[in-house]
Amino acid sequence: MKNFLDLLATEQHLDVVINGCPSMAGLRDHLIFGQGDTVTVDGIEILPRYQCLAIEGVLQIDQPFYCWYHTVSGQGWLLEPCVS
Amino acid sequence: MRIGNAGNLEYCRWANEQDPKLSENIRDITPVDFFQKSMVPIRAALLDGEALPRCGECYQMEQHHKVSGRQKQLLKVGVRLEHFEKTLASSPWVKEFARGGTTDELPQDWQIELGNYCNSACVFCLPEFSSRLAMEHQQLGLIAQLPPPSWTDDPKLVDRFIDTLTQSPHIQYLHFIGGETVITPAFKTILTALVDSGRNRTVAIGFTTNLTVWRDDIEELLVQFASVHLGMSLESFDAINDYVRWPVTLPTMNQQLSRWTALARQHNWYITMRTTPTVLSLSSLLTVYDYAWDQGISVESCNFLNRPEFMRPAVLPLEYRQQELDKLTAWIAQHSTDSDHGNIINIRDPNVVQQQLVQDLQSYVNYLEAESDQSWRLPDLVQYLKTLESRRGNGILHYLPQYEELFRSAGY
Repeated sequence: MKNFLDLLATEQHLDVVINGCPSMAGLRDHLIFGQGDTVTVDGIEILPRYQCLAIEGVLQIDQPFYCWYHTVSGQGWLLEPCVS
Repeated sequence: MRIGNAGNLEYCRWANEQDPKLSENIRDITPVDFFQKSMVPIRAALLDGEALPRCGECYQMEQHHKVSGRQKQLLKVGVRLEHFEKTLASSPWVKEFARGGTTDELPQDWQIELGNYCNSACVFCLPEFSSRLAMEHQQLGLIAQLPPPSWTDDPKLVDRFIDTLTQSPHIQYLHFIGGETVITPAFKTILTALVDSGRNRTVAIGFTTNLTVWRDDIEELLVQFASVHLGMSLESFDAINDYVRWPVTLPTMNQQLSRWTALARQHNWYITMRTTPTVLSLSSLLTVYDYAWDQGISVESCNFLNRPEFMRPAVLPLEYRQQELDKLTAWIAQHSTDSDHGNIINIRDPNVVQQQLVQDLQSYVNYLEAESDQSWRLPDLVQYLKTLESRRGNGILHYLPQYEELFRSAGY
């Protein structure tokens, strides 16, 4: 990527590994994992690390993964546009 | 965004300092017009992948693995250098970025520099940041003229700025610096306006104090804010602090430190110790980290000191530098943390204070190992210290006897 337009023209995906099995997901996909699974996304441990966030045995990530991760990993404020 | 002491408007709180006359000024343009119009080419350049010259200090910090302002500001819009492309594409701001630099948004985050009104004259400071040092420099013939008046000396400009704040409904954070914030009239004026408008319930404020003064009226305002980040400036818990942060003395500093810390803990404020490591304070830097480790307080410095050039830690010759490096690396080894937090960018996360301390100190190790020897600046340092001492009546060798041979060789 050289500039922002290049970024927009490039398809991005998440590298998801569930119990050792690799797969791909979109950056904004709704992700659902079982509480007992071992999960990494782009090499970042998700389960069992965040199993405390699972509800009735299911961890749901219903916003863009990196926005969710920003919040759960204690990255502070995540500002959002207010006008547009 | 940043408004500098002269009223200069800057695109980033971390952008390298430049002559304020080269920047647009609140006297000539509203902050909103600056944000929405003047900053378009800057945003466009960044979106085009350019590395701006005024981002240089941040790049230097990243080179030594010190968390830079660039990283901190990117994080606020969800972007990290690791996974840069994916976090950028995932940012809530991606549609806004796609506008090529134009925006209808209003600033959500400000650094507000209130002027140079200050009762301290730290040896590493500059006249544009301390009125007391400015007076001293003028009396010593080091400067011909005092710095230009602060924008906060003009009530109309302060009102204009307050209007900007109160008309921006989504401001998240305001960081105030001086001079000494607590005694600067505009600090109270702006805090009062925020309280009167009810913005204190939603806006987080931060400020830095030099641990010399206390004002009950300021305390009464501060405690009305939902979130406060308190920065306390100090360089050491050794006597060298008296020399470097002249004329404050350790007993006064410790008294104020205890008082501010108690207030902050009572109201659950975020607290940090703000340091400016120099060639003079490097040898006692660990006293700050020891205290911080014991008290669970983080340590933060803006950058690796750039000006005055002769105060940079890199001015210490290699043989002296190695002694300090050995002490720093030994401290890190003794305070290693079993952490899987990786590179901590949100250094204000209260859950990782000790890891942040180790990470920050490691950046100084990296700096001292990598930066070239700038000891050729020592004669300038010695000349400057002698000039100040001629008026202050103190002497650096009383505080740093271990550097006597070094300073004598440079003309002391």
